[in-house]
Parts: sequence; structure tokens; C-alpha cells
Amino acid sequence: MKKVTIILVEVLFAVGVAYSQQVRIAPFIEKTVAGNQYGTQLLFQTKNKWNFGGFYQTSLQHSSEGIQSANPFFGIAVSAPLVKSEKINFQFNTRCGIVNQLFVVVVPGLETELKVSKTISLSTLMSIRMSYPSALLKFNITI
Amino acid sequence: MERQLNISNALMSTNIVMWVAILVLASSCEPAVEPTRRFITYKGDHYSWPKLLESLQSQKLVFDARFNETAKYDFGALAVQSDKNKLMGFCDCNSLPHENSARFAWQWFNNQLEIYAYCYVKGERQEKYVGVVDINTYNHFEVEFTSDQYIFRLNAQPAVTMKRGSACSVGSYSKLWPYFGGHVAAPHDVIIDIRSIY
Repeated sequence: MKKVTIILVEVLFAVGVAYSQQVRIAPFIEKTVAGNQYGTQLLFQTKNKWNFGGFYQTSLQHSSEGIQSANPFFGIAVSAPLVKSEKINFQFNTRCGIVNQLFVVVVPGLETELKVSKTISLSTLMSIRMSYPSALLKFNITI
Repeated sequence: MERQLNISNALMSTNIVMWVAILVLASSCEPAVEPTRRFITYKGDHYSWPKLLESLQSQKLVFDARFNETAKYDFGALAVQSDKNKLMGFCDCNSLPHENSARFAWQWFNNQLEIYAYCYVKGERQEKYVGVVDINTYNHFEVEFTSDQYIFRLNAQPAVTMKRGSACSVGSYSKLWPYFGGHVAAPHDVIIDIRSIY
């Protein structure tokens, strides 16, 4: 399983680099029914405004030993444009990955991206996680 | 060429409202919703409503459940009365319910609501008595799995363990929701409130 995951990620990375017009890094915060999660996405954007890449997110829990991460969720993210304009894009987004290194999870959602400048944009993403709505706020930086 | 859109003021306003809502949501620490659901198995049916698709995301399934007067029934025949109704649990790694799964089950028997651990291990059904619960009050349930066993906990009672037989580790673990029966469908509407704890 590990080998397959590594090969998949490498293939996606190679295809991403080959087809991408832009590379983006996007820190985000997601509010789920189980609490807040914090993470980052590395995305490749094609000419047609498709985005694909990888993500990692985790909860932060306070304990006697300090702040610890919990329920890590990592995998691949793909978003397809539904409506495009100069300032605002609407996208269908899917995250597919593994939670707590055991549980395969697919998270569909709808994303609105608001462009602030050439290199910076903000996104909101409404998804379904653990069968409840979740809200994600993302800060996209084009490298 | 990129399609140019003339975005109306209404669309812009909607977006602003959505942005403000999400900013408020993201900046607060409290859960956005109280994850309590009412499951109803209608008379003559086995499956409960709403029907949900959700997968487990940790090695422990934790929830509180409340039964009410609708949990009482009398089928007369002992064999039917002792059929186990399913409360909640999960399918083990990439398995179907009748292959590898772990659930709490319940039955109205001897004028009390009895709770059982109910598992399928490599297609073989296993049951163990866990305890008795009161109706009209929330009771605490936990099912945890380790590499080789399921651990069932009910309120403060001693844990009950059962053998686990799943062949894989990474995969889909879909949750299983209330189901009436056994062989006989619900004699009347049966209501169970379940509060998931994440």
C-alpha cells in the first residue's frame, strides 16, 4: 500500500509539473464537526484552471506535554472549474486521502476563490466531512 | 480564451455574506453543530431513517444513545423476541456487514432493554451480553478495535472483548446505523436518538 501511494504521488507530481501553469501553496483552516483542523496544500494549476496536488491537515490538541497534532489527514486534492471569471472562480473540489493512517476518506466540496492580486487569492470551501458540513478558509499563494 | 462573466451585485453580496459566515465559523472554537440525530425505524421496516453514508475516522467509535418507550415490543415467541436489533457500529476494513463488522445490538427482553456486543468475524456471527440500560436517558457506548480484538464499553460497566478477524488495515470502515431485526420488521415506529462524539 505504501509503495502504491508513493508511486501515485510521484506520478501526480510529475504530471502536475508537466502540465501546470502555476504552482501554489495554500495554508488553510477547516472547521469540522470534530473541531478545527489546520493544514497546507501544494497545488498545480493548469491553463484551464484545474488544480491538483497534495494536502496535509491535522487537529491541534492541548495536553500536559504541550500542543500535539491529532487525527492527521493527508492525500490528494483535485478541483475542477465550474464557473470562471477574472475575479471569482467557482470550483468543484475533492479531497481523497487517509485519516489516522488507516481510514480512507473522500471529501467532496464546493469552492469559491476570490482573487486579491496576481499572486494571492482567498478561497472558501464548503465540504461534507463525517456526514456534517465543514467550512474551510484557504490562503492561496502563487509561487 | 477564458470566459468573462458579468457578476451581478446580488452574487457579490451573497459571496460577502458567505465569506463573513465562514470567517466567524473558523474563528470560533466551539463545534459548529450538535451532532445528535434521531433515527426512526418505521413500522414494517428494518432500516432506519435518515440513511447515512459515513466512514469511521478513528480506532474508537464513541456515541451516546437514548431509547424511549418505542423500544418496548412483544412478539410472543421467545425465539423472535430474542432477535438482536442493531444499534450502531462499523464494517471492518473494506468488509461488508456480514463479513467483518462490530456493532452494539439491543433487544427488549424480560421487561428490560438488554445490550449486546454483536460481531461478524470472517463471516461467523458472535454475540456477547454487555448489560442493561434505562430508557429515556442517554447511555454511553464505545467500540474500539485493536490489531486482534474489538473492545465494547457501555457506561461504567466492565469492557467486553471479542475477537477481530479483518485481513487488512488501510481501507474504508463504513459506519453502520440502527437496524431493526433479525427476522421480524419493526412492529411499530422505533425511535433512537444518537449523539456522536468525535
